[in-house]
Amino acid sequence: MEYLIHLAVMSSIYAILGMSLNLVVGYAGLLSVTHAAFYGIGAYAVGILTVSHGYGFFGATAIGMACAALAAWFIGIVSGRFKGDYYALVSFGFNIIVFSIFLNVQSVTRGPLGIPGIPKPEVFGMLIRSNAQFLLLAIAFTLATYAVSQWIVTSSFGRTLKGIREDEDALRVFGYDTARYKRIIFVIAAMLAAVGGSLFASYISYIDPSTFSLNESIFILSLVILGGLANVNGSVFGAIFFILLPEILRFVGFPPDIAAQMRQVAYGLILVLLMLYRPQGMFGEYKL
Amino acid sequence: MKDEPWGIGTKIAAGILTLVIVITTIMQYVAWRNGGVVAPGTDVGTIRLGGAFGLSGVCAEWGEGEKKAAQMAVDEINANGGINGRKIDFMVEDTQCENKTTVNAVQKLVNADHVLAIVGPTWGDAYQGASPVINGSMTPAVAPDTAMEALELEHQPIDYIFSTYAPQRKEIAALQAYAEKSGLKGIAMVWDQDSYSTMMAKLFEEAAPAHGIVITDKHEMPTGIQDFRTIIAKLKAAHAEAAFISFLAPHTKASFLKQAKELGFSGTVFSAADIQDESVLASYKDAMDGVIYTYPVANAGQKAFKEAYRAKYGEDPQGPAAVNAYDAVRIIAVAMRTGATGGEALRDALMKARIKGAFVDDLGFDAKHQVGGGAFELKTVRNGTFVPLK
Repeated sequence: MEYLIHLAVMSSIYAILGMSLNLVVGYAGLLSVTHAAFYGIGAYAVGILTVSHGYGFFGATAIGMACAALAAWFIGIVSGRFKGDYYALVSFGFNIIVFSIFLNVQSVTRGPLGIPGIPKPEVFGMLIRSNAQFLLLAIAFTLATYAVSQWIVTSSFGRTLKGIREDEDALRVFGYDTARYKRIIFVIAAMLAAVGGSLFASYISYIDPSTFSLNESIFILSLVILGGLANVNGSVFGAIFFILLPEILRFVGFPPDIAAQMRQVAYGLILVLLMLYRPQGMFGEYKL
Repeated sequence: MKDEPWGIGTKIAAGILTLVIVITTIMQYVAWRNGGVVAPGTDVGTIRLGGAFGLSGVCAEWGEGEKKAAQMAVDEINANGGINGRKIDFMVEDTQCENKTTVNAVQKLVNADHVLAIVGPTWGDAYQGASPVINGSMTPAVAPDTAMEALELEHQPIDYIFSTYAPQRKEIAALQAYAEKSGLKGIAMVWDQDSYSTMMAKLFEEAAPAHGIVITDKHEMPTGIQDFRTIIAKLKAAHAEAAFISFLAPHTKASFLKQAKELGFSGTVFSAADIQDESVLASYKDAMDGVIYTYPVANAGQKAFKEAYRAKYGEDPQGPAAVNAYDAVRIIAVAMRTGATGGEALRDALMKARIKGAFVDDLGFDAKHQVGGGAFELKTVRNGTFVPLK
């Protein structure tokens, strides 16, 4: 049971990351591969502030969200000048910059040594000790992210984002400041990703830069695409699928000598087949 | 581009339900299959031992050899009647050399497979996320290649975590004592941004003043880099007497040594025990000549292990810590033979256990849960062979 609870916690964290990235990629049509940077900012905020400065989980999370928002605002100003593939390349560059900061500003982040011993959160004076209690907290944050995401995509703001995705020039003609819309959704998504990072840091209790590399951004983007672009439910499904699939494959009786390699081949094969038969993802309303 | 969805609510419910059913069914099957497995101390069943190795990813070079060596030890123990008459059921999981997946692997071993002890995880010092799971579940884990100093420096609890790897401070002290004796006053350091390498650099720098050594230059490189020519040229231009190198993988160290030879760097190069890797030596024979490192004094166990490994797998032991994984299984077995049924009792039994190891002759754990017994000697590579430094 503990193992299932652990997987459920990880699925919740990735559902938050997936839903937030979907707002940018699926609804606004911006192919961003910098999400792990915001995820990392949230994680490092909790790691640094709780371990070295005595902050509580929620205070550190709020500061992490503010830092992620600030970084996203700045990145949004620069990347807003680009479109399509160029946008992806710029966002790629920002992920590398933030990763390098995690790795090299050792006086703050401790670099490759990482930050161990991150404490568990305290809710209303009660320390969350068990994984089951942590799952409840993670689900609460996931539901909050779901509600925020649904509210955004069903609002006029969300409809404008879809319009930008479909034909940005047309919206500009009607007087919309599309760059501002894109920046705002980018900032919101970054803040939500920081929440995912806060939960991750507190749950795993150890963070180091390798968790927030470009690979992680691609992983989050993959779960959004597989779940379905422009569909919040799809991101939840994608997160559960991407967390559970490799774990399910651990139980498949591959020959012991090649089990690890076979699992990776099977994992890759399933993804290729899914993309062949559902290129828009499981619940996608939009194709890149 | 708009695409008609399948009926979103139905699909998400069906998808999640299917996944839950699949995973629950598999876990039920596993539980059913394990119906005959009972804890040690009873008369029937097997003893479940977990193995958490990096079988894919950056540490696979270490993990594969560790898995094979651990399996070899398990097979030997089972062939000799097992532990108090019960066979070991060795369950291996791939950590994929990442923090998140190491936690997943250990979670499965501890909470789904209910193993009594774990050999691993590969590079537990780098993937410390698994430590709270190990300590929290009171499942002793003997890692073949964890630098316990990494946990000690961070004041992390080591309750159920042990390591059969060489104590890093002991290695560094031996190298610096040699440097002092040889009249080397200044040593440059080159390391990559891996957690182990960074820790080694930190330890080396901290210990240097005690041996009258000055760190003349420090070069921190990105992980995975293979081209050291610029750094070597700088070392050469600065007339560096010696350099201490610490990189993620032994073959990276070998690359450095090869390029140092090509560029005519004449200083002494110091390294750590992990460079004694037969598979790396096979590829870099001449290039590794002259490197100085520490290793446990050669004993009959090291030779016997190498021969047994070759006989079983038809190859040299792969990775620098295969021998440590072999010893890890054997010392766990000795602890279990006392009747310790896991948890605190097994941890205490491990603290008291001693074996004639393949890595060091008298292998047991000290208060820091490191290999306590055994003497280390300085070694080098001469004519393509690892030999003691005369």
